[in-house]
Amino acid sequence: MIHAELFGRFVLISLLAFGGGQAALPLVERMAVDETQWIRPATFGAAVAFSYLTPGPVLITSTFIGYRVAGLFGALAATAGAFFIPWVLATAIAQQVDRFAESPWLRAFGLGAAPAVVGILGVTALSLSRDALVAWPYILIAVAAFLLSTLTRIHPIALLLAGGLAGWVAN
Amino acid sequence: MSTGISFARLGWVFLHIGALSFGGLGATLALIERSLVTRLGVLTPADLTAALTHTKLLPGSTVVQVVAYLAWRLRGWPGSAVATAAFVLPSALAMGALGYGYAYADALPGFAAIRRGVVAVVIAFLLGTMVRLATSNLKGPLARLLAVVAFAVVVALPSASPWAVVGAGLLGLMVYRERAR
Repeated sequence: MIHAELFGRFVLISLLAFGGGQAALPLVERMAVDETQWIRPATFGAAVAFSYLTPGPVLITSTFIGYRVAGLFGALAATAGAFFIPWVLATAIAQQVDRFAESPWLRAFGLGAAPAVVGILGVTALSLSRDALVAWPYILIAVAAFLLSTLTRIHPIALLLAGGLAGWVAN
Repeated sequence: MSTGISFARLGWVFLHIGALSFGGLGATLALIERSLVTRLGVLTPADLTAALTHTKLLPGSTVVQVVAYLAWRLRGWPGSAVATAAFVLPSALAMGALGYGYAYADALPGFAAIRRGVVAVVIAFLLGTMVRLATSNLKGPLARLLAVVAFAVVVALPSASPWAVVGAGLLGLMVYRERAR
């Protein structure tokens, strides 16, 4: 039952994530942390960090969450749920590119949905902040990481490792 | 549809790409370009551009959709399934292993401070993503209003996030459909 729920919830998220895998993160956080309470905010933060540290899509956080919730088969169910519909859609588009790719319906739905995703991304950042930014050193780490990630070409993995080290030193 | 590459080769190439694609869509495109355009010559730069253009509007992981799209062009539905599974496999294995090890690491002294430091960087990344998405998606007062309303609704009703997206999308259908033609 839990496997079906994991699959179904990640299918729903993949259907609503207009704006790519990053846009799915707030929906994943709302679902896994707030709604079902499958994982804690700190664990979600770690899952997202791991998705940056590993190769491949950011939405691979689904595998981590699935594993934490229901072991190996949970990981399989969540991963399949997260990527099945996007795979079907992309392959269907490739097959019938002229019919679907320029669909004004899809485009109009996306134009409305994308701003909502931006708003919900703000909720996710706020939610993670409550758990992680509990003292000045962590706030400084976040500010420094924001500036470095937007103004320089330092690799995200280097920033994540530096953040972990700075957190350890701050402790 | 080109058939110049076997299923096994296609799976192997995308397994390799999936294992090395640190850095998101840009890194993956560079690896695809190097392997399938330059080295094997089974795709063209125009194929990559078409894949990006046609998958950009779809919901879900763009990088996975680009892989699925390009692999369909090479070997149809079965090829797309093989390539997508092969691409996701390395990161899924890594994340499964991290999910297994996390329970042990979480109990170590000092781990909470390290995790907070890492999550502080994740928050910075999310804010960066938010700025980028806002720049491209919040054009006009209605779009900005939708973002603010979605933020407020989900703060007040945390489980309402899917409905906030669907509601905004339906509103988009009513308001933007003529513009999108």
